[in-house]
Amino acid sequence: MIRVLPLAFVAFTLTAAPLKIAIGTLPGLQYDKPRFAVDSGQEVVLTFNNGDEMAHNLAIVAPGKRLEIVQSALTLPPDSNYIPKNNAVLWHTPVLKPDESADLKFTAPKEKGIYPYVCTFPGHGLIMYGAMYVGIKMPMLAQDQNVSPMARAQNADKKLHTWPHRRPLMYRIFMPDASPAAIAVALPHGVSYCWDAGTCHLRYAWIGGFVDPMPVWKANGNGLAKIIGTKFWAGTKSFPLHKLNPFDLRPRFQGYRKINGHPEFHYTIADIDVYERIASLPSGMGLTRHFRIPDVNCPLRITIGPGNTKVSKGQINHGVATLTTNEAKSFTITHHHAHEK
Amino acid sequence: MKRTIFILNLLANLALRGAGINDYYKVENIPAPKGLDVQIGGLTFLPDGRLAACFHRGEVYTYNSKTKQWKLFADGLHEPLGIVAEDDKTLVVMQRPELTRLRDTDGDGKADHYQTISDDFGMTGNYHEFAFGPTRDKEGNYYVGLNLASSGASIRPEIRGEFRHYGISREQFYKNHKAGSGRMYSAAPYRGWIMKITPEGKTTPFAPGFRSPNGLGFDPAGRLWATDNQGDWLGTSKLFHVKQDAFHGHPASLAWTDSWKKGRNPLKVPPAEFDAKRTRAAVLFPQGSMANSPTQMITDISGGKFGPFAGQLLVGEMNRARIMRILLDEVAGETQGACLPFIDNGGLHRGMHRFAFAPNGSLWAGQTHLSWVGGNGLQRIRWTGKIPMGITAMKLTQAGFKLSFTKPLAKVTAENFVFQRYYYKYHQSYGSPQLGKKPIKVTNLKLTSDGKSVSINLEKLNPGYVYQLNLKNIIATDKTPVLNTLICYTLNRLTNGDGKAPHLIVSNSSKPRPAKSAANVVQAKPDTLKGINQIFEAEDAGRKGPSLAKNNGGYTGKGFVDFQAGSDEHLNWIIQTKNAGECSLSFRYALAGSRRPLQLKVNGKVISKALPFISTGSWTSWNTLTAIATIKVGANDIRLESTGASGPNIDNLTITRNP
Repeated sequence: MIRVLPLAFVAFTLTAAPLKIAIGTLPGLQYDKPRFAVDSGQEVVLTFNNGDEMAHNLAIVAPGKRLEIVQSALTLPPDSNYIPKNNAVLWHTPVLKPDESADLKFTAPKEKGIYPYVCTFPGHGLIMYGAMYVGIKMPMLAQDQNVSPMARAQNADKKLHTWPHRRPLMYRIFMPDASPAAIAVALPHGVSYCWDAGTCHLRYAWIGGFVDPMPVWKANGNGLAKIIGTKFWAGTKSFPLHKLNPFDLRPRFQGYRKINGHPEFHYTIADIDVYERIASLPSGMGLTRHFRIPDVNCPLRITIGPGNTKVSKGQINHGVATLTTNEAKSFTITHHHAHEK
Repeated sequence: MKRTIFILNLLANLALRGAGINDYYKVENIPAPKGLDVQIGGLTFLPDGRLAACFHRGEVYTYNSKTKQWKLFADGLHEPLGIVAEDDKTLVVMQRPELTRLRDTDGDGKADHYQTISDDFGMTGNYHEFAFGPTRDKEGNYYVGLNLASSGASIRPEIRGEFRHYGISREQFYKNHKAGSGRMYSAAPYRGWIMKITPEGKTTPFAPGFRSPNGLGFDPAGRLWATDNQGDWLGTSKLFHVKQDAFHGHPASLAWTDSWKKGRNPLKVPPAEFDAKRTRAAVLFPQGSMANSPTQMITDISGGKFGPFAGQLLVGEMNRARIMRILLDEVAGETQGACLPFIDNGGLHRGMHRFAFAPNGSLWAGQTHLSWVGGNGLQRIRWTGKIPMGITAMKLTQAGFKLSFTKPLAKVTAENFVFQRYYYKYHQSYGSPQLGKKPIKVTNLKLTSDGKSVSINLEKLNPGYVYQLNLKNIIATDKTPVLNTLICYTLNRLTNGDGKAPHLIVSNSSKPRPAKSAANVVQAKPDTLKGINQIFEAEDAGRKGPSLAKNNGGYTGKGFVDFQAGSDEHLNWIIQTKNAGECSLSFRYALAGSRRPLQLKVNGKVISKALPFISTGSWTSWNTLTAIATIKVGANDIRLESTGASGPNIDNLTITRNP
């Protein structure tokens, strides 16, 4: 009697115990498991634990449907969990805050195939994804086109520096849509921006990953760094700050100081010093530009690019913010992702 | 008996050759932190004795050679190519967009203030617009070199600074930069100039006429020197004594002088006009035998701790494991002189790019390649204390040269000194062959009483020539053979001041002389790529210059193709196909001597500026070298071109479609 019970227990687990998969996160918008394999029709319990500093979800979608789902999630409100109403989404967790976790219990599809899993939080899904192989043999990871490029590259042991992934991080490097004196900066919360030392202003910002610098670094510089992620804001091509009086002069770049790793840019217009420091929003859905112009001696007009922008002081009319001399001494401009209030 | 003689000969040879470079200089590799791309753009020593180095991916590290600790000082720079220490906490680097002061203001060992000293020059974003330097004069002013842009690429859609290019608009030029750009161009302010920048950032254009001034440095006498690289307007690589406002030979930068008429195209100006204005280089580095890409110039400031050549200038070379010495000579109020190999191989890497002398007199060398021929790593070179037999001076006399050595010469005859002379053309084409090449007879020899110097009279001395001397079987009285046997003296002026050299220039208006190989112009027989892997014989390709040959066995088909002269030769296959796509192009070749790179173009696009054909060991050993390129539907022109040096023997081309 005593010996029968364990046998019965074993028999029970062999037939009914689901396959357990645990997926966590890595810094830089990555799941810690780039892929996993299950059998057709297998019972699965997938635990997604969000150990990252920003919010994520995990959705398993039909083969080939990742980009379509990621695109349609871009326009959803936050209370949707960024999950579009679409039959291609097979299973999904809600959006998890840092250190939250959720289980997905499901029976793997009967149809063999490669089922992507992806974070549909806006901007993340372009690089934060993996592949569930159902009844199909997995290729070598370094050659697997179904996992994220970063997972592939990591597997190929392509470390860019002596240090592991870190934010903030900045590169002076050739960038698209900027002068040759461009600067790319990766901020915490998955926000990155391009600030142009040739024109002395913020050119654009994106969410997702940072840049692939290898097109520039692999050889002699005849290439552009590649943006990894989605642009959520782009400014004017020309310098946006206008002194109402006496007249505009070309800004001159003076360098930057690093404050907790974040650059505070410094330039002068005539003899007036302007300082600009940029911080990401904790939600990962925008950034705030902190301006200091301690010696400003006239009111200021600022051309605000298109998009969802707020200025801490002054008036915005027809895309131009007007600040009094006193207001211009210190103010912020916040560029939000289109779907963040 | 025969065998005994053979062994005796062998022993004698060993005794003669026994002294290799490592008896005098030891080369040691310094391990770098894991994950660092060790392509070094600049090296310097801090006052406290630590080394500071800047790297290709924008990092600056310090290295303590006692504790072997590397520490990150700064990062995020854009291709820094030079570094100078102002104090233990302040470094100045030249990066592509600006001269930057890196300051550690809070004493945590990391720079927190990246202060722009000067960005007062233009950049078009063309990859070849490297920014070299800085070097510093006694007053603390910085000097930097701004590379020209290359016709290998266009400008970027947005540039920094004014655009200027012979009346063509920026938009037109962006779309079609080949329309009249020449090989190297200056389309933004002060490309091709050496700039002077005060410590506060006041920036003045200092001297025009440079192409690729990678190596800038001051000598103890306070003279500024710069190396420049063989190419258009440079028949061979050069070392200039840089003079303020003087024109140093490459005309593209003249567009930014006040006197240059706006819209005037230097390519349409007779070279004689430039020749009359230009300052000739103090030293020419013969392409091929001496250097193909000279790098930093550094003075041996070791005061004798680095051997018997203290005070001399040293110059690195990219294409081989070599550091050269420069022997300067003051002639009729001008400086000219000779170059010779100093340290060859012995564990050195290729790509000897940057140097710094440690306080203890060891020489630190950093390598780079930037995807061209070169290397990577950091090395320390130490003198063993043993004196090598070598030349310490080469001075022009009225009738020839006076050579001085580190040790007394055993005995000398005219056969020990084999002279020849040649010159390089001054013209807009790329490079130049050695022209007017002629052996020069030694007419008299005289050894000084201490035996350390020898005066050599020559049958002919004319300005405008390189006098190349090969030493044959020179041995010191203590039996040590001379370490390096090649030395090249650039004779700009005679002792009486005569510097006339009309043969150096080639007028634009005169018809080009038919090349020796004019008969060897053959049109390609077009062929079709049908499969995924197919061989195309070189003898069916078109060619200008190379001749068809069969004198070395092992070839396929009817023979192979033999490159002849230095430049402007080519071999081209015309291959038709119905399917575009990426292919592997494998060239089967043989080469007995040292490296002979060729430029590879597919449909006019440069795939490789210098496809590295290295020695196969002999003319009958055939190897393949593979490049990747994309071919288009229709006829494709696959072309190997010589650019200054001759090429290998080419047997065939195999095209393989990549999956």
